[in-house]
Amino acid sequence: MTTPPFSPILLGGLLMRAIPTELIQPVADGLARRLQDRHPGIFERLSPLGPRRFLVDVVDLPWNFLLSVAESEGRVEVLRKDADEAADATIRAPLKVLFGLLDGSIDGDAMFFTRDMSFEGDTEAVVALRNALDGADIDLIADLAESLGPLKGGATRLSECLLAAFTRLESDFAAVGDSLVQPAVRRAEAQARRIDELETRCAQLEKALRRARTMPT
Amino acid sequence: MTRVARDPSRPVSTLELVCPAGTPAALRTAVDAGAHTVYCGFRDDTNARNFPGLNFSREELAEGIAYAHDHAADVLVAINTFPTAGNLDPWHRAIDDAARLGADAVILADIGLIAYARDNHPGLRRHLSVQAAASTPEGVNFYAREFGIARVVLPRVLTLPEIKELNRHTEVETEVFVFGGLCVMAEGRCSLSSYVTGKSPNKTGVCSPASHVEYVEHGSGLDSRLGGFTINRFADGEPAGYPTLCKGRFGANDKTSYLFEEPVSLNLLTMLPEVADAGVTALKIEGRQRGKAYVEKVVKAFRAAVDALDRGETLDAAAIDDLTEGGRETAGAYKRTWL
Amino acid sequence: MTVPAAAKLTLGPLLFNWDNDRRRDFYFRVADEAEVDTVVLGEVVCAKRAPFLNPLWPEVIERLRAAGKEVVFSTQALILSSREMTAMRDLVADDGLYFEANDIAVDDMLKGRRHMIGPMMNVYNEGTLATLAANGADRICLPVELPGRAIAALTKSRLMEVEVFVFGRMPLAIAARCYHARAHNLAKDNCQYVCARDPDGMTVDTLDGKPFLAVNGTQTMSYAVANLAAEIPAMIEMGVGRFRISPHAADMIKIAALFRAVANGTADPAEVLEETDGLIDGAPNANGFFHDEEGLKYKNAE
Repeated sequence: MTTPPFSPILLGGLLMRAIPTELIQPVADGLARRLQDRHPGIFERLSPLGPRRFLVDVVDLPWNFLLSVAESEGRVEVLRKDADEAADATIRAPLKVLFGLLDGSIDGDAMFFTRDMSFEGDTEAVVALRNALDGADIDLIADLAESLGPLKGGATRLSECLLAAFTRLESDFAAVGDSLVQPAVRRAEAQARRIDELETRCAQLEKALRRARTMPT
Repeated sequence: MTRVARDPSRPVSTLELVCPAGTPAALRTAVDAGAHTVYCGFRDDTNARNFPGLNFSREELAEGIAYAHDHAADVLVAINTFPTAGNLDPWHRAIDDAARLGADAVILADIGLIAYARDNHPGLRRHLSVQAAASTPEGVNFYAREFGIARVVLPRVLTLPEIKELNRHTEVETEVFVFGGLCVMAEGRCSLSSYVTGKSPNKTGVCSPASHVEYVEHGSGLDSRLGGFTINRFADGEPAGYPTLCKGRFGANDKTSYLFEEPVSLNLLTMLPEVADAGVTALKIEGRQRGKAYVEKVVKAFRAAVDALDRGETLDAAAIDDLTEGGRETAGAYKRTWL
Repeated sequence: MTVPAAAKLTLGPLLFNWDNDRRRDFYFRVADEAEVDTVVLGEVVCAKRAPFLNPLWPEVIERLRAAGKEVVFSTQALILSSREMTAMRDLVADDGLYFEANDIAVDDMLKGRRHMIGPMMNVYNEGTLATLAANGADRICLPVELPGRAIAALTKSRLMEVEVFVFGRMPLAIAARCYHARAHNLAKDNCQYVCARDPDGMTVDTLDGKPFLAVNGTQTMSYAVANLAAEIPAMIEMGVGRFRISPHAADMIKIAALFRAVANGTADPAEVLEETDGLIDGAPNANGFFHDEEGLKYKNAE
């Protein structure tokens, strides 16, 4: 399970809870349109799979994003965390990881290997989405800013400043977070190991039983 | 299309760096990062990385070749699966199109296809894919004599002394894998994936395909399943891996272990002087299914190492550890202790 | 329409590491009792096993030939060193034997001579078959992964006699590394021949405790047992003239007789399928590859 990192975005996200999804939706629409216009290859690469819905759970934001792809077209819907929407696959990661995946600056496989992101559901669709996004040269800040329309110039500078500030804050938060949650994590891990051991012993017993049954008497 | 000539100052001893491109963006990234050569495939089951959302349309290949040639890099097109009797057309068209679009070579595995390329496109350079598993000078020389193969990609079953020995007995250029995912079985001679999923590297160009992969979170961690079989189980926080069949945990002889291979990646960065000494022509980086970030980092590191080698400098292990599967690396069969 | 000649039955090479006494007894019994036309000898899997077997072969060949069986001698599937290559060259120097090549290098050594192609070579289409036929191969046991439609197309090409693997654990992969040694925490160079402990291969279980694969030294095999008894009549219709059964610790004389009867059209394939079910470690039957599906599956006739 990908838990939200104790990060500046998480705290920011708690404050942002008050913002209704209706206010975020136009930004999402703009971004979807922009991707459609500038990077049609993304949807073209996904189209052989048929219609697919991806639930993107940005673990440190108060919203989920539902990406629907059909017939070389895509749309993004902003949802409350508790909204019950069916999807073919769910992708969970902190915002920073998702940004890196979008613009290709970080390697999706590496993030997955290190468990910084997780997903469930249709693996083929997730892999296709990853490959399609990586195959497009997305400049996220430019694309996001574009979707804000007239606010664009300021937004670009603002985003860049925010990213820089965020990177500085992040390491401080990580240190504090570790000290808060580590003891609980260690206890839970010990219990999980115990459950795994019991499961393994059960499997071994079942196997011994099966062997005993097939053994010639 | 104007073709920039190779840098004349490049020493003849330079090992050629052959880099993966799953998408046009990755191709440009590889070229910009210093790849001498890029390899890629068409978006169908004619190549052994037939993954969803990956690979090149005909138009994209034309653009990719133009970009590479403008930057003095070569493009190789992998058509390295084995067409099944009665359905040869897609493979023949792939070879025809690679020739028409100006690919510098095709990478082939199937004897019937190699014969087709020789007979229909004699001017198109032919490389023997690792999927042909030509592990001996006799095997390599057969392909050279019968089909004019110019280069062989060696299977990852040979030790460095065995590679050196092989190079003494053949005129054919050799290319060896130096980084990335590692087949532990002789390549092209493995039906494990099709046993479990019906899809195999040889027939459809996929191994342990994503369409048959499931990740299941449970109380104490993450299970990875392939075709309904639990291939691996990761505790929370433990580095995960893709459920490639041969990199899973299994029970045998009353213990559970990574019976075939651990989820490790091959990395010969620090062994390049020995690799060069074994007489190989080219170094291959695996990973057409990996992203641009991977391509950029690995290609840069290896290009720097190749250049350092040319200058007679010793090599530093670059920081590419986080790109290896499970965060761990191996020298594979190149060192005999692995066997 | 001509009536096809009776299909022939081949006993494939013994892929497991049995000691010489057991091997000798097995082949002598095959010579005396097994209803097979052809017996394939030789060590296919591991170069380290081969030297121990060499003293055994002359008497086995003589005994089988005296019993009227055709003898085929098979060769190594993966050749890794010049020493192993020299061993192969010395072996095929015997021009009194009909060899089976499992590697292109061995096929090339046999160029211009009658020989056959084993199931570990990648032959998927007519083009490859034509090249090998031009090299002198006149028979092929097709790779186990090939679907029925490809078997039909290759048989129809009439480039060589086609044999199909119809019974036994399927060879799925071959490696430089020895997994038997690895499972016993031994290095390959000091393997102590632990593979000899498992006459049908070492069972490999998944983490759920489901039996999954079987390891035979450097070879990885299916846990399930290929059983194409039900598909034999259709393959005879396609023109397949030979069927291969692969040796296991079970009663191969009985298994040969059952498959002989199916090939002759004198037994109900469904009954033979049932009689041969579970004979090897209680492992299930599989025919998925023939139907272009997962190899471990068994697909019932519609």
